[in-house]
Amino acid sequence: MKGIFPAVLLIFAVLFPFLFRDYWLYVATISLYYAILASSWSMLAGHVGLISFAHAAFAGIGAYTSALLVIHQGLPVPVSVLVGALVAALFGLGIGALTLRMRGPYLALTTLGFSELFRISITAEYGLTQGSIGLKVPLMIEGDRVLSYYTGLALFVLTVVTLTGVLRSRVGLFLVAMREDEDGASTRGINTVYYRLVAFVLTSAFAGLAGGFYAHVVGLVSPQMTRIGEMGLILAMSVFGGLESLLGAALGAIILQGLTEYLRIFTEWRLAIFGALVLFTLKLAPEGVLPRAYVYAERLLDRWLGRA
Amino acid sequence: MLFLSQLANALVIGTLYALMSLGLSLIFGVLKLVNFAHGEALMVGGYLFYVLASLQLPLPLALLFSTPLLFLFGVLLERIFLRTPYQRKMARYDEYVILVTFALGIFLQNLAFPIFGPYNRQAPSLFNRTIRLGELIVGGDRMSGALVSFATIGILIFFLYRTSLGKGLRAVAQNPGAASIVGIKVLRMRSVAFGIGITLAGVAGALFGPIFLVNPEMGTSFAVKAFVIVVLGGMGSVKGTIFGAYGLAIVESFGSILLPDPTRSLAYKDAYGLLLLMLVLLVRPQGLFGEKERPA
Amino acid sequence: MMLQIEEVTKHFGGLQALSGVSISFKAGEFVGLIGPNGSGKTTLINCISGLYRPDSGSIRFGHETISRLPPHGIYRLGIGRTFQISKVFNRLTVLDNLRIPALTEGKLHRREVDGRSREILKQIKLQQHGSLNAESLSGGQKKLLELGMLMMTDPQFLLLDEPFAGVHPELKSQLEDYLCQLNRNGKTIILVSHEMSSIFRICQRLVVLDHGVLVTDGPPEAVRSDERVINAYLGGAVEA
Repeated sequence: MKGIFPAVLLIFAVLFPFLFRDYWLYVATISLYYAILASSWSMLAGHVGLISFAHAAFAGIGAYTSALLVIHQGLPVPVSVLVGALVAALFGLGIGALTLRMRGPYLALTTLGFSELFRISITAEYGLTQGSIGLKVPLMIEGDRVLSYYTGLALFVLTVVTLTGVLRSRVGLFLVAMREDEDGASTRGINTVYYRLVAFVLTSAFAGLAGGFYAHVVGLVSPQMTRIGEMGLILAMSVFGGLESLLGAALGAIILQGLTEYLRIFTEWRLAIFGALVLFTLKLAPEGVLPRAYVYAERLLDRWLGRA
Repeated sequence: MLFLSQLANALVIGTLYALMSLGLSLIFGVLKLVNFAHGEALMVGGYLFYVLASLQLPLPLALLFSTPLLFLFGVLLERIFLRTPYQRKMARYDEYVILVTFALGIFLQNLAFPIFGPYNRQAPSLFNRTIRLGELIVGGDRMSGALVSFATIGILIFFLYRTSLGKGLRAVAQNPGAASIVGIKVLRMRSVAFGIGITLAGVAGALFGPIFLVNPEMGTSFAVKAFVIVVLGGMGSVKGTIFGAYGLAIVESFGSILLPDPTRSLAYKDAYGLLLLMLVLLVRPQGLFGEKERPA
Repeated sequence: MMLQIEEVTKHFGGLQALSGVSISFKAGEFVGLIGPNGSGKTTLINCISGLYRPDSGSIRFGHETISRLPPHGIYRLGIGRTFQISKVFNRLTVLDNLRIPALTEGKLHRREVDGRSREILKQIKLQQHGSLNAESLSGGQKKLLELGMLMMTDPQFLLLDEPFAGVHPELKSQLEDYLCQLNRNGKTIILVSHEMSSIFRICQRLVVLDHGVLVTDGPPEAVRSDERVINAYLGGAVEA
């Protein structure tokens, strides 16, 4: 069951543009943006145990960097997006270094502070960023919806494969050990400073990458993408999909984003519904709704196969 | 002259800030958690007061009725979301409370949008006319808000230091184990503390409403300020929180003078506190007044 | 001199945990570190292993000054420690717990690390628990796991903080023998414990701390009858 499921998903994802066009294809592309954010955030919050509220800001850094490079320096989009990711990674390094001794609420508060500081600066520096109106940005691949989708899919697969690879290696083991007991980890030879920075740099790089991608799909970069509400969305998607499951968080993002569009009838209430969903998940299935559902599905499948 | 009026304004706003932040500080002190929904508690109070006032209730009564409702709301939240994980010594408790309070905040904010709409609403103030103290001019709404805050803070301090319930709260804040041995019901104290914390935020919201307008997002910027204040003053320290509240108000009032460009300086107003917050956390994670946690 | 502690001082707020403590340890010694509760034993261990930085004074290991090194650096030099309250990685399996110290060292191949961890698992008699999470272990079993983790990289210098606490009495004497064996093989051991019978049985030298100050240092018999030690335990301080 374990290996088949992601493979099936991948096949479905590759075939998606042949089944759906235009509107839903666009929704799926945007979902991929959130999927990258949710899975990278869930690695930091779940596996490493560091809850950072700066993730949406890192996406914003990637988006604005890429946008400004394309507009002012005329760099090609792919290059700009990559540079955006690098700049986000640099900021991730900075934040990681500044918060080395912090855990729990102090870390959450500092990263929240940084996120708000970034948003306020972006809004205030009207001359550079057009403030809250937002920057108009050239679209990637001349706006070809299908190719943009596949680009997003490729970036998403890159994210999941890289992060899963890291988690399965000894680095992953060290990161989880640090979550369990930072002093104990340090005493057993784990360079906690180094690995903490690795965690921040890695996750913020992918957030920046997602941000750059988003900018050239939507065509507009605004401070809205770094609001606390956006961070709340990422949190909701990760909690729903499973904090300790990269793929789960990604799926959570896709499902919730899809629901957002589907529930357009209840436009005003959908975010409240998501909020309630998160609260229910935390209370009743804290490991995540999708992981819980997966376990049930597996049990059902075993029973069904066992009988057959 | 400008200096004096800025100072007066800072002192008035500072009192309101203090009221809101004391709730956060109390919750941290007793329950040992940061309430990331504190801003939304403020918003709930703002809307509650607005609704009661729209029902033509005399304003002081509206404020008075809001208080027990807010308290009940806080206690309910604690019972539903926070008690069980604490009791069962849940595995990732520290992360859980961050997530659940943050999610609660997002939920409440997004509940307010459809119910009340995103528009700003003007809540009536307790005292409308401007007040002249010699050459100083202070808005009546701010002044009355500050006075009510001041009174409420006074009641809170009296409660914490002179009543047995208050002493119980302080005991749990210092040492839950010892408190329970001498017969204090720790779980109940936690609920009470959370309820009071929410109430303080809500009352602050009710008082802020007339001054800053009521809207679903009003809580966010004030929550950030409350975090700044509580960290500056030391989590759980009453004295420090009050000091931090006035400190922030002063920094905000005079900080805007630093940037010559008026539009930018206004846009950066909220940032001063944040910069201060991050600086303080980096240099002294326990705030200016708080106690350093002993390393293991 | 293998480990030299010179005039180490450490305080926390108003509390003076260590005041000008100076001790030297030679290679191959088996030293017991004793003293009433709150005398600074664990603080000293924490300073040596790098979790605390001394306020003043220095700690040298061989030719290197280690007082400013981070814990992982000190571990790499061959100084290993266990904790008074076991610090194991609860939501990792017992085997993963064992693998980690060897993996950080980087000397062994992944497969060799696996092999060695299974060996050690057998030695500490926790074969049944290999694939279970460490949180399922009892307190005494966690202490054994900590010892196992230590043995994965075979450090030459061991700091053991209350290794016998919560351990089954039969197992305790086996542990004592094991430690003696390690010492005979050349390892230097500093043992913090309240189990006086064990201490007197296996340690060749005792160092006594009280209120952060070195009270006396010498062979067990001399220390046992030293008046200052008796006063430290009976007079004023919380009893051992």
